[in-house]
Amino acid sequence: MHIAIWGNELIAWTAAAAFAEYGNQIHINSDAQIPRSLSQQSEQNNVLFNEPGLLHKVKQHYDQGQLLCGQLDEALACPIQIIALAPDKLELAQQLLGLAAERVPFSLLVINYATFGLGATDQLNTLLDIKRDQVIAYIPDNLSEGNAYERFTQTDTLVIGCQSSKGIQLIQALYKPFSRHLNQLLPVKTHEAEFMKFASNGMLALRLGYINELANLADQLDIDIDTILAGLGSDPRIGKHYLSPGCGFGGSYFSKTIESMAELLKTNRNSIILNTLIEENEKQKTRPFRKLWQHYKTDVAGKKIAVWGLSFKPNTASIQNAPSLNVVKTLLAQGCEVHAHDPQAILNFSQEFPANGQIVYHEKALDALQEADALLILTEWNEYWSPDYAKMLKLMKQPVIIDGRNILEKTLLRDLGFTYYGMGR
Amino acid sequence: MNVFATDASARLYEHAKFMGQRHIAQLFQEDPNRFQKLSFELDELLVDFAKQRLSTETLQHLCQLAEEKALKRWIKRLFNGEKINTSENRPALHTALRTPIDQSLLLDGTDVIQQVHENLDRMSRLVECIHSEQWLGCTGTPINTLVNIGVGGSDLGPFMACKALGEFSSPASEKLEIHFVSSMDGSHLSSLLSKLDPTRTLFVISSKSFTTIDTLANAETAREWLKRAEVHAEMDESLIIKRHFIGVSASPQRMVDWGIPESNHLYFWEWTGGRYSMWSTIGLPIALRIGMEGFRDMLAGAHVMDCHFRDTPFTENLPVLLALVGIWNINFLNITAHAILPYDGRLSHLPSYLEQLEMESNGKSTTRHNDQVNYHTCPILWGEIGTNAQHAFYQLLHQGTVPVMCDFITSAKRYEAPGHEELKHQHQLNLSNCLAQSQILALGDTVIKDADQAPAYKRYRGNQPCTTLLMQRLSPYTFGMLIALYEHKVFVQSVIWDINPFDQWGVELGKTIATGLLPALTQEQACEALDSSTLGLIRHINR
Repeated sequence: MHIAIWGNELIAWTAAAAFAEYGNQIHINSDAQIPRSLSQQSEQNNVLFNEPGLLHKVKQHYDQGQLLCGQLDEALACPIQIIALAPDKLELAQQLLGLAAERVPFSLLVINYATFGLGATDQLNTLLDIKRDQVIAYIPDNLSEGNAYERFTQTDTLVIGCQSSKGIQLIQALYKPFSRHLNQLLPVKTHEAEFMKFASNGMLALRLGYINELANLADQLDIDIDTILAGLGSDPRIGKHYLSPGCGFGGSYFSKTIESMAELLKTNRNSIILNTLIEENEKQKTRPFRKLWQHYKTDVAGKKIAVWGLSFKPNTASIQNAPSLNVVKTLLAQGCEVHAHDPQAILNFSQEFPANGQIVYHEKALDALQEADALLILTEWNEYWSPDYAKMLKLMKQPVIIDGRNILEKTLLRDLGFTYYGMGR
Repeated sequence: MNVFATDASARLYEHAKFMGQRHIAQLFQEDPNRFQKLSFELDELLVDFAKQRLSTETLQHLCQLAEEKALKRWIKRLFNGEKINTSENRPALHTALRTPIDQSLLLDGTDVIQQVHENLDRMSRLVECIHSEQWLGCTGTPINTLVNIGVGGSDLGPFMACKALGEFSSPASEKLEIHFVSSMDGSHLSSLLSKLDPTRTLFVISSKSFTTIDTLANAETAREWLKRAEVHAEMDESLIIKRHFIGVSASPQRMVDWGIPESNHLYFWEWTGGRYSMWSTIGLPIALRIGMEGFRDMLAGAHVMDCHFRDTPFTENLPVLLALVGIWNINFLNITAHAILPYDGRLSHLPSYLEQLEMESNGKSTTRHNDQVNYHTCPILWGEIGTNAQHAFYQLLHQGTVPVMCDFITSAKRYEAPGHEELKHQHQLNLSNCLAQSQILALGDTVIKDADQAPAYKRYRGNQPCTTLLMQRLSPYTFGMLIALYEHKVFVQSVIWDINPFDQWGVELGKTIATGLLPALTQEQACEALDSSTLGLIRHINR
């Protein structure tokens, strides 16, 4: 099938790679005005660089001619149009659909992946002509950065928000290669599907926020959060997912939906539950710093601080809304010298905080520890889980570890002579 | 000694015999051009004296009186930093606080303008630190609430300015909550503390001497509240003070003695009178509310008024004219009550600010030569937002027996951004009330037809003299102009009355006696040698 995909978001490139893999002819572009080559498009957005393996897949299909960029007229004439734009690009989506609706002679299927807000898909639908068999569907994506391709191609539930049975049929055909893992196909109304997307992300965020609050409280009451979590997780009503406290969630994708849901709740219900959550999450991001601040009795100026982990989560180079941004900003403002390490995100991070006398980037994690007064762990990259403690002890001036992700074994560390602070432990 | 035994005064007494018989309505009938002749403009501020019971001739005589009292020389002495606060042997250099950095003024060999700007820069760094959320409490959480603890000059000015200029907050500054605490009995503080987060609250202790008992009592309560907070359980007291207290004072050593480290000090000087101090680092809450740029705009507005006051002939000099019109009302028309009526909710605290500025400065009966005066000095001054006062004391202004002079203060333009049509309408309603009230107070019911047919209880006598102060818009700049205008007005009146406006000995004895009574109230010590009333009350309290 000929598919046009509009957008530069993670879902745009993931869908492009996945659909191209199974024989579809893909046109991917970020807007209908300026034709851009693959490299020009990928330069506009770090998604392709940040997501492991995705760039490789995209390039492969591009080289094989299965994936095309810059042929705007052809793209606008495709019978399947996929909107995968950023949440603030509704106007652009309207413009694109207006053009496509004119050009495609008959049977146009529009799939909207973009999180424009509740009712946006119905709004886009008004641009289509039902008499000419032009239909729209909203599919909430459940991608998570770091393993987006797997999530897309191995989904176990496919929610399709679509009022047209023909549209649903066509989508089923399109998703056929990915149906091996599919347990449930759930056709719903478009605005119900949109709501589902907001609702599930909001629920996850609330859970994370609550766990973080519990950990903070546990800290203050001298209770070990690990014990509490073991109990909580064994309760089948609660389960074990999304139950790890840490220094706040980030990423562009998740954060954007939470913000939209917060706005929706605020406007319609005058409810600030998610706004409070976002606010608390921002505070949570600097919690490792606050532990350092208290350890050094508010006197941190001139201290040499090692930071492990800059990306907002492991296996991505993305630093969007990452706790490291807040922590490093505060460390620098308070006069600390920062020595940072991250397996993938240094390039992105150094664009925000260029290396200078006050901030130095290291290729090897241990190198960042030389003469350090403390180590802050902000991302749970695999290589940080079991470091060479003996070397660390030798390198660090003060063996103080603040584990923002609770990945280290606190008793062992204390026995080895480290001063260890976790999140709620 | 009668300071009014001069040629110009004699002419004014004579003139007053004539003008005292006149009604303001009559003056308008006789001269339709009163507004053109009796209103004066500077930059974005217009002052209209046309509704006063005076004529251009009155102003000429008054200006001659000012010449005779050597006002020009006094203004020079004020600006030059001469020690005109003789009872405390120091200058009164609030004008230096708003002088641009490219100028200089030597005081005992030190350039005070440089000192002023060094401290403004220090304050600016502090403001930047708080606005960028990098002033951290002792748990490491950024401060988002500021509580100013001060009283009198360390409270009224910043409190008034923060209320007046709140809408000039920047995105960085509007995140910050600012509160003011002054009452000695802890009322302000106790109701506030229950709502605040100790990890995010910063206290500013403002006191020129750093001995003011009201302020120190509140500061002590604040310190104990911080210490008692669960999250601070394991913190040293010195850390809590270092992260949660800033001191603003002219006495660095006393701040240190209280526990505030030098890094958290902001200074001003002995030559800054408390009630003239909002331009100094005492203005920290203002700078935090509107940003340093806004604060500097306010200083610039005041500086424009300073230059105007220093350089303009008396006949066109706004502070001089405002003061002389007051002198005319008080000393020649025998009016000793003065209402301050802002028609702008943002200026709600202006009356209490001016109560201190005027009554603490000129509420005195001893001349600079230690003689008793035999003339009126500062009138009773009070006020309220005009439209609210209309439902309170305007009855007295319109139909009471007390002659009162009134200042109507408002701005021409407000709510100009699109989408504020309803509020704009409210502003117009407000302006129409402002104009209507001053019109009736001055002209009485002559403004309507056949008023004399009405029964006596429905009549409006009028003839209450009114001044209208009209800003084009209220902004940090025009606000600075307005406050400096009143400061200089107070100074001019003090020159005419031959009193020192910069001391306040009348407030001292109360402090001493209160300290003496405390042991009797805490029952540590019996106190027999008292008048029967005080003794009786103490016994009743202790019962």
